Amino acid sequence: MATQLKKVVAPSGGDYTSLEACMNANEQNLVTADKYFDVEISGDWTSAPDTTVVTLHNYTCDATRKITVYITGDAKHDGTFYGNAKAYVLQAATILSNNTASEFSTFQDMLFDGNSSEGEAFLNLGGTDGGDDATIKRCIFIDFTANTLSSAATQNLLVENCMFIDCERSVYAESESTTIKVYNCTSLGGDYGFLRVLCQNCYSGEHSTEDFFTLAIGSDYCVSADTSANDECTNNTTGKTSYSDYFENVGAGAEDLHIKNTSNNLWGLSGTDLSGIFTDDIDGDTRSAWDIGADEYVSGKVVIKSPFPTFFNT
Amino acid sequence: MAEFLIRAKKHYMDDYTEEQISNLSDDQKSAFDQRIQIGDVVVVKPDGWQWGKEECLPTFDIIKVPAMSYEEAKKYEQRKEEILVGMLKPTITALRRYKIIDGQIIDKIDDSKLLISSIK
Repeated sequence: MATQLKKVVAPSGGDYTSLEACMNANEQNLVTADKYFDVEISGDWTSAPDTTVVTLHNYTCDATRKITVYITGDAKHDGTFYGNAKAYVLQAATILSNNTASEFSTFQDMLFDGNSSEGEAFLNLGGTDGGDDATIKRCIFIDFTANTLSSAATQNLLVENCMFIDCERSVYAESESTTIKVYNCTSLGGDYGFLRVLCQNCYSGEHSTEDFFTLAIGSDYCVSADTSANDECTNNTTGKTSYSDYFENVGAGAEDLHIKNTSNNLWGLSGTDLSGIFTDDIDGDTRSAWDIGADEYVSGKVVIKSPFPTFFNT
Repeated sequence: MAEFLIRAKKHYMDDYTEEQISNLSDDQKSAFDQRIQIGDVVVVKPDGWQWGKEECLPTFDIIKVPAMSYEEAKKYEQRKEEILVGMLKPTITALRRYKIIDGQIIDKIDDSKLLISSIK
């Protein structure tokens, strides 16, 4: 039975202070070592941003001996990019993978800042030669100037419950033989939204060229600001351009893409049930109505932004 | 002022035999060629950085360079990228362009050397 290799990345008290140092130090054949590699990112990152580009290579993984990068405690975002100042943000932002190292790997609950200068957030992630998926879930990407997520030929990638804000191209498959599945994601602003990928339950709007472009067969239940959802998806709604009516905040530097009502009320469309793949949304809330996009609307939910209020016992 | 996290331990693939190397796929061979080398600059942080428990020997060494600003030092995290024959775009040929050996920063592309005043 595989044993756990666990490392902690934190601004203080952890094993490493950057994700790159952690991934660099532990490169190995996890299958031969019979280990699965858990990387926990924790702590208060307010004054210690991670600004070193990450390269993920020279690992060998399989379905049980794989890499999982996850966030805990203060370092976890609140479903927005700016809501939790302590959250971990990878600012240098390219996670480059050019072999089977990332096959089966999972990255979750991370924030990625392209600073309007970095090209890609993830490049060539996923298994090769028909291999299994890498997974990116509940992540938020902002201000990337090229393909935010992209994969070369025959690579497989699953993207779920992610938000893309002002990214030039949110998710892009360089080859039609690539299988990138994009489920319940939201893309607002930039040049293109989702290109040559399989999209289900996605919202894409405010892109200068197209919200959806040449999607894969099977794409369905999508909403666009332009007419492209109608070109690419059987069930769709188009022309949804009243962004401030849909999302909590669309102001530059304060974006909050939680939806203000159910997607059926906002756009006249709910998504398809994907509970065979996942059951939550970007906040970890359980999905029931299967709203379009990364957020499942929860009636009456009060989101308390940090710093948290202090309650006095009187 | 800046501090450099330097790779001090050899890579597990350095001991690969010719047969093991020949069995690598093209992608794996590319990653093998790019692997980290002893002396490579892995991470640059500002002066006084509180490094993690495993950011030390035997895997890493820390070199303090008081005469260099953090902003200037950050460039030493660059990858080695070259335009190969028949390619239009640069290809990453090594994980890092720069390494520090014996108090010198060595540029792997033009083999230039920059003497630095450092503290281990």
